[in-house]
Amino acid sequence: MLRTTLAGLRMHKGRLVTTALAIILGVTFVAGTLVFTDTMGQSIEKQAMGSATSVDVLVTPEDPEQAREDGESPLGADTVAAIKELAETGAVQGIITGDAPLLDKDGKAVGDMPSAGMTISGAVDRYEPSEGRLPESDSEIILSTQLARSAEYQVGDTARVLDHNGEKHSLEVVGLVDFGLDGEAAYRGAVGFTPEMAEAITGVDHYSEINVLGAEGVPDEDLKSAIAGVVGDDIKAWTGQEYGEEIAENYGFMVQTYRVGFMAFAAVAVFVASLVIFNTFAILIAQRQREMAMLRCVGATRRQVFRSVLGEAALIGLVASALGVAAGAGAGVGGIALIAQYDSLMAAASPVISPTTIIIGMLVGTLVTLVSALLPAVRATRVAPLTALRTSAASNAAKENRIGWVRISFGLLFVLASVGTVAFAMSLEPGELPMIIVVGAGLVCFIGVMFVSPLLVRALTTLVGWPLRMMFGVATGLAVENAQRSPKRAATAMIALTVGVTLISGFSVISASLQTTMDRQLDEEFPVDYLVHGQMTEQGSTGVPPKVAEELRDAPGIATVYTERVARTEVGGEAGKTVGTMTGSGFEADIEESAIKGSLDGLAPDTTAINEAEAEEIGAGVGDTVSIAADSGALDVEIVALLNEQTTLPPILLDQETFTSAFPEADTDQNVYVKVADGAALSDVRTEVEDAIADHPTVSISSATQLKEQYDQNMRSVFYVIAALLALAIIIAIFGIANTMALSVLERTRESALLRALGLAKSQLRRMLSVEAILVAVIGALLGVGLGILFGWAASQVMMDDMAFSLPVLQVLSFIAVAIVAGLLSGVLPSRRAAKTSITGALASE
Amino acid sequence: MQEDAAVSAPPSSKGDQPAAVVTRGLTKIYDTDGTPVRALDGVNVKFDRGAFTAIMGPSGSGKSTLMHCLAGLDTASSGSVHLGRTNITTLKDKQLTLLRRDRIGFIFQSFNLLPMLTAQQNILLPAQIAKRKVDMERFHRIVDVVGLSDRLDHLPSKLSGGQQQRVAVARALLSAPEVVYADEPTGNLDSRSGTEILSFLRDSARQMRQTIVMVTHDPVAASYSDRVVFLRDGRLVDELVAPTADGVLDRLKKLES
Repeated sequence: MLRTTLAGLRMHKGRLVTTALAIILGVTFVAGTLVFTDTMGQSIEKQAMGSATSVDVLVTPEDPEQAREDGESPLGADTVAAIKELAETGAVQGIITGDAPLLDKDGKAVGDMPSAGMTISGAVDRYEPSEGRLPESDSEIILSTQLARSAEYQVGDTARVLDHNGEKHSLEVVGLVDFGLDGEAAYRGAVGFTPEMAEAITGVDHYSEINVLGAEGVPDEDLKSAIAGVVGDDIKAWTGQEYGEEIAENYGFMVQTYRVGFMAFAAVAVFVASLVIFNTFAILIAQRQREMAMLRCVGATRRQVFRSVLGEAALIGLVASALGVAAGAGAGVGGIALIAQYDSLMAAASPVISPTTIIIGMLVGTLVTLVSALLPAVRATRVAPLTALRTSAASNAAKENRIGWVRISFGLLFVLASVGTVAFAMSLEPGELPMIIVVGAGLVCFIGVMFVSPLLVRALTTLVGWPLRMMFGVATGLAVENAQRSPKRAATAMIALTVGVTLISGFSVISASLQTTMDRQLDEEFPVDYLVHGQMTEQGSTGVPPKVAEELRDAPGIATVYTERVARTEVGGEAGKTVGTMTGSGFEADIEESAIKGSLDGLAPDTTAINEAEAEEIGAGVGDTVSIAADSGALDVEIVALLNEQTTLPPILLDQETFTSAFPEADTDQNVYVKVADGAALSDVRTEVEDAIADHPTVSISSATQLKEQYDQNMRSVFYVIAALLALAIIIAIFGIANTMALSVLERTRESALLRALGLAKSQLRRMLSVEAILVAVIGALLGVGLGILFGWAASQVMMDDMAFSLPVLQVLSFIAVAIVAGLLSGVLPSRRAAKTSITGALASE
Repeated sequence: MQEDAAVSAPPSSKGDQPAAVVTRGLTKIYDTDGTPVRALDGVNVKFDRGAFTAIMGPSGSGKSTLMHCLAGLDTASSGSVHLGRTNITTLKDKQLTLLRRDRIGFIFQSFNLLPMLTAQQNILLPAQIAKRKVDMERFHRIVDVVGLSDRLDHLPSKLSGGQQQRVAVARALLSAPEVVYADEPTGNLDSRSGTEILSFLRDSARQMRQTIVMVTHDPVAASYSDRVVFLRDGRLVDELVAPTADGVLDRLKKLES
C-alpha cells in the first residue's frame, strides 16, 4: 500500500508543488520568527551581560526611576568614600549622569531630548569603546555610536557641548561607545567625559551608579555584602552578573512581545495554508475517485485507503516542513543581518537555530497538513468500489452543487451571534476590552461566512458575472458557469484570500480612522501656527528663555504670542504636581473652550482652574480650596473651573500675577505659542522665529503641519510593516487559487478539447480560465474588503471616545486591484497549459 | 441557412455539385521513439455533398486519424484535404479554429457535452462562440425531430446516454455546417438509442442534404449510410455503396483475414 502511495505521489508531483509551497511559506514564517526572536534574545542577553560583567559590583539607588525623576540620588561622595575604605574594594568610580546637549555642526542641539552627559572613564572602566579610546584628559570625550551617527561626528572631530549654564565647550571626540541596552544612554544618546569634566558639564554632584572592582582574590559576593553593610537602605548593590541578568530580563519582555506579535501573523499564514492544503486534497481525492474505487475493487480496505491518503499528506508535510524550516532559518538570519546594520542590538549574537525551532517548525507543518487532509481522507474511504466501473465523469458534478439548509442556518446563527457581540461591545466604555470583544466577534462572523461561502460564491459570481457576460461574451459566460459549478471548491479557495484581505482592510480602516482622529485632535489642541519649545527631560522641558517671546512679540507678521510657564511642587498634599500659568494674551478663548465645569470668568488672584484628571487625583472639585506649596510659602487657592482632560494647558492653572509672586524663579517659558497675522507669509514668519531662537541651541520650532506629518509618517510605517506581514498570507492564498485552477483545468481537459473542437480559439480558452481565476480572486477580495471595513469600523469605534470614521478609499480600491492582478497571475499557468493541450490527444484519453 | 452558417465559406457553387471534402495523397506519419509509423499512407478519397458516408476498418487502420485530419483537429504530414474550395492542410491554428467553428459540426463517442450547461445551452454553444444569430425556427424543428423539447432545461447529468447524444446531434446539425463528423456516435449506447441516433443522421442527410462522415466499427451502424469506405494499414482498400449490415461484415472479414 505504501508503494502505491509513493507511486501516486511520483505521478502527481506536479499537482502537489503548490500545496508544498503553501506549507513551506507558512512554516518559513513560523521558523523565521523563532530564529529571529531567539537570536534577538541571545544578542540582548550577551550585551547585557557584557556591559555589566566588566564590573565586579554595581551600586545603584534602590529606586533608580524615582531618582531620575527627582533629579536626586542617594549616591553621594560619602557613599564612594565609604566603599573605598572597605578592605575588599580594589577600585571605585562614581558615575555622574546628567544633561550634556551635544550640538550638531550647525550649532543646534541634537534630538528632541538633550543628550546624556556621563562619566565614562576613571578608576573603573565599565564600557569598552567600539572605536578609538576612552577620554584621558578633560578636553576629550566619547560619543554613543547612535548619537555620533545622527550628529554626523567621527573620531577625531571636534564637537561642541553645552554645560548646565548654557556655555559651549569645544571638545575632541576620541572614541565611540556602543551603550547597547543601557537604557538612558542608548535612548537619549550620550556624551562620555572624564569624572571631573562630567561634573563640570552637567553640574550634577551625585551619582547615578557606582562601579566597584574587588581587591585581589575577593569574590564578588563578598564584596557585594561588604558594600551592602556600609551603604543606606535606599541603595542597592548588585554583582555584575546579577545586574546583567536584571537588564536582560527587562528586555526579555520586549523579545517576548516581538515573538507574540510575529507569531500572530504566522498563525494567520498557517491558517491560510491549511485552507489551501485542504482544498488541494479535497480536489485530488474527488478526481482520483476511480483510482480509489479501483484500489477498493482489488481488495484494499477502507482503512488502507485512509492510511494511503494520510500517508501521502504526512510525506508532503514532512518534506515541505523541512524545506520551510530551512527557508525560515535563512529568512531569520537574513532579517537579523539586515537589522544589525541599523541596530547594534542585533549585532552581537550569531544566529540561533535551536532544536526547538526545528521541532516546532516540523510539527506545525506536518500536523497542519495532516489535519487538513483528514476530511478528504475520510471522504476517500466512502468511495464505493462500484464507482470504478462507472464511465461518466460528469455524473458526480451535480452532487456537489447541493447546498444544505443546515449550512445556511449555521452560517446565519454565527453571523447573528457576531452582530450581537459587536452591539454589546459598542455599549461598553471604549477601551481595550471592547476592542478584543470586537475582534472575537469578527472571528465568529468569519466562521459564519465560511459556512455560507459556497452560497455567497454563487450569488456573487452571478452578480459580478452578469455584466461581464453582457460585455465580453461567451468565453466569460463560460467562466462564470465554471466558477459556479463547484461552489465549495471555489469558496475554499476564495476564503483563503478573504482572510488576508479582511485583516488588511480592517487594519487600514482602523489606521485611517485613527489618523483622522489624531489630526482632528491636533487641530483642536494646536490652535497656533508655531510652537517654540526646549528639549524634553525627565523634569519637563529645558525651557525657552523669556527673551525669545519678547523678541517675537515685536516681530512683524506675528499676531499673537503667548507662553506657558510651569513649576513642580506639592499640591493638596500630593508631591510632583505641575502648577502653571499663561502669559501674554490671545489664549483666553482656548481656555474658555477647555472648561467643562464651572466658569473661567473669574480666574482672578487666588483662584485656579484645574485639569479634570488632576482634580480626581487630589480629590477636590469646583468650589473647594487647595493648598499649593509655593516658593513664597503655602498658597491657598479656590478651584473655580475644571478643564478638559485632553487640554494642553497646565494641569493646575493660576493667573499670571499669582503664579509670578508664588514662583518668582520660574521665569523661563515652557512653550511659546505663535500665531501668524492675517496676510503674512508663513515662510517669512518662520524665518523671524528661526532668527529669534538662533542663539539658543536647545530651542526648536514645531508646526502643526510638521507634527501631522510626523504622526502620518509613523502611522504609515506601522501600516506598511503590518501590510508586509499580511502579504504572505495573501501570497499563500494566491497559490491556493492557482492550485485550484490548475487541478480544475486538469479535470476538464476533455471539456477544453471539446470546446476547442467546437471552435473556441486558444485565446478565448485562455481568457475563459483567466476570468474564472479573477472571479474567484475578486469575490474573495470583495468579501474581505466588506468584512474588513465592517469590523475595522466596529473596532475603531470602541477604541476610544470621539473616534472619527475614515474609509481609505484608495487603499481599499488598491486591494481589489491587487486581487484582480493576483487572480490574473494565478490563472496564467493553468490556462496556458489548457490551451497547449492537443485536441485529439485529450479527446482520445479518458 | 447555408448563408448564415458559412461566414468564411467560399462562394457556393451549386451548379456542378463538387464533393464536400476531398483528400489527395493524405499521409500522416507519427514519430514515436524514433520509429516512424504511417498512420495514413496516401489516402485519396472524396465525400459527396449531401451524402452519409461511413469510414470502417479494423483497429489501428487509421480511421480515427483520417477523421481528425479531415476535420482539422490534426495536421497532415503530406498531401491535402479540401473542404469545399479551401485547402485546410495549409491553414494555421487560428484559421483552423474558425473553420471548425463556422463550417464543421462534431459528434463524439462520449463526453460530448459541457456538464455545467443545460441541453439548450449546449446546443446553442457553437453559435454563441461564433457570435452567430440562431435561427430559432430551425432550432425548434431540430429539437422536435430529436425529441428533446421537454428536456431543454436539463443538465447533462440528468439525461440518459441516448438523450445526451441526441443533444450532441442537434448541436452539430443546428448551424447546417458543410460537413458533420461523427466519431463512433453510437459506441456507448444501447442498440435502441443507437438506432434512433443513426436514423436521425440518415434522415438529416436525405431531407436536409447534410453531408455526414461517420467513423464506426459497427456494421449495423455502417448499414445506415449511403456508402462505406474501408481502410487498412492507413490505405483506402475498398468501398461499398448502399451497404447492408451483412455485406459490410463480409468485407470486414475479408479485410481482416
